[in-house]
Amino acid sequence: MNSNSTDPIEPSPPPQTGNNDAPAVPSPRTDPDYQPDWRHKWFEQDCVEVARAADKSAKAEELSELTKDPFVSLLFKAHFSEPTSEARSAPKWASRARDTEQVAHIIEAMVVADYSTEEIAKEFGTDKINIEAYEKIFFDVRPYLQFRGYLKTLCFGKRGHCALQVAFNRGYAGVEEVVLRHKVKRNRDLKESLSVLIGRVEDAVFAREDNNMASSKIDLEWLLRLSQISALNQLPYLQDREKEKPLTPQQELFKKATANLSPGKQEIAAILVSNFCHQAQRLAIQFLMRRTVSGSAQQNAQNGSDPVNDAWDAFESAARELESENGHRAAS
Amino acid sequence: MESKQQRPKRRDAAQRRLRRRRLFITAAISSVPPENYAPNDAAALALGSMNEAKWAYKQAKRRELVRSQSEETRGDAFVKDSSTPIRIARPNRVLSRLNRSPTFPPLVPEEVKIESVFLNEILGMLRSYAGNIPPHQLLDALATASGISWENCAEILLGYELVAHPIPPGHIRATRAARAFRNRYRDGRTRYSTWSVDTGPGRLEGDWAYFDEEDLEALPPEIIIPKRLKRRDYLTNYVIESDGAVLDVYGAAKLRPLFRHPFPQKFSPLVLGALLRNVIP
Repeated sequence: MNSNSTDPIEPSPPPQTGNNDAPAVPSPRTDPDYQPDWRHKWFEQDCVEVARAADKSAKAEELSELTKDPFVSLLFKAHFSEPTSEARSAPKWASRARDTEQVAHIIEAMVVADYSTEEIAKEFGTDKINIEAYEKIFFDVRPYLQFRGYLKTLCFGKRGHCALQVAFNRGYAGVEEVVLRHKVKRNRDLKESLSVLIGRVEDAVFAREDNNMASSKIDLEWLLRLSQISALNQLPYLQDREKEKPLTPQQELFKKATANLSPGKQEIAAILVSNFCHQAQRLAIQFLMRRTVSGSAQQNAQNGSDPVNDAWDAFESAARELESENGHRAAS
Repeated sequence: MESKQQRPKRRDAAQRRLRRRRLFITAAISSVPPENYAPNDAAALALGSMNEAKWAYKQAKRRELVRSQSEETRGDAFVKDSSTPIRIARPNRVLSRLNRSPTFPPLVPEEVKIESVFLNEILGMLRSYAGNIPPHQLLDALATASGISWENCAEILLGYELVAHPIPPGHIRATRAARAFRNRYRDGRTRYSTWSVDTGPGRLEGDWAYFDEEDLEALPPEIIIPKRLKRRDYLTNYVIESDGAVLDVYGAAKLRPLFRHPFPQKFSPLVLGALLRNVIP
């Protein structure tokens, strides 16, 4: 493999064959679902074609000659003919790197963070040509690093992984810190360590956004605590939330009765009911329940059903349900 | 007067809480470097409650332990332990058939021993095995060694006449799932060896692995663990029996037996598929 024959920075050259049926070289420009391992996929298809052919060696030779891409041709030769061990070493290294998941993840993160092939090779103590082979065969993304939209779908899609997400969100600095863990020689002070930790918290926040998670109570808590960190330059308290006390049967009944009211009305009703004596509270809740049931009965009336009968039926069944649940004579 | 007395107390309490978090985080990030925390763990440590922060720290510490050991030394301490292995009582509960995963790990061997990554060499080796091993194992060997997709591997095997008939898609899916199980179990075994060195339960008899909640649910996909048997982390023992295999699942915290997930031979996707084809033409 000649490392000078293809410039890793430039997009792949167009097909150099006389074969008109050869598919065009894919790219995010032509295919929104661009797969960075398209060369390996092409190679697989060629392998299947060879397997189907009656004269396999002739077909293999034909396909390697009618090359759609120089790297696919090289891969094909490495697999089907007997070239020198030098010619085989780069595809072999690339295949091994792909099988060793951690190595593949690091290389891919470094590519997304725009490290040069020399820098990546230095990290792994290998030759530049091996990294180039990996990129060409399994991760042809370098020419498209400026397309952030495409990169995001790649990093956070089915093929994405944690290291890729760090590289996308935090670039070179993030990869140095999180993926490669280049440690500084001096001891870190607490502030510096905390800034790294807060960076990871930021990753978690990004991940929630990227996973399209609806905002929830957790977000509010995080927001409050993060604002505390930024405003006071202090860490938030380390304490557990108070556990919610279980509701009494009376409270549960009230909750059920006022479920259809707006939060403001629920609060007013709660204040009113809390001022009554026990007997009056029970009656008030029954009243609320009747209101709730007749409210739904009015809706039925609009649909053409008998509002009074339906309301009483619904109320009776609700009362029976209450009676069976609470043991009170709720339907009296 | 009363409010003047209360204010310093409240301030003290606030200071104490701040100090508590600061001390905890200082201890946590001096033990595990902050960049090693997963994003969610970092958020729990910095922003979560006491329990969440403690759990995040424990998770990160365990991950760090597994990562900081080199491939060669992982599990060595466990393997070299020559003491008599401890036998642990097996779980009595058996996971119901509807809650079990359709994965059948005994379909494929523990590992594929083919060093080459080049297709012509791999095919040469497979040709020497062809008469002796079933087609789905040939498929597993080719796909694992070459990295080519399973469907294409099935075509290549047929094209090179290593198998007499096309491999049905159901068999391809079942074999791929079995290989995924083996790979995940291997990772779990590595984690167990680190966990056992860290927590020191002694040398346990069997083929043990360690999984957290998410990992166990992905190990045999589609498994449904009853709510009362759910734990945050689990130990598993893969037992080979005369009628297939069984995965015994234990709670990692107290080594409490939870349930068994059997993989009986009669439910092997290959056998069951053939039976169904005979019954429903």
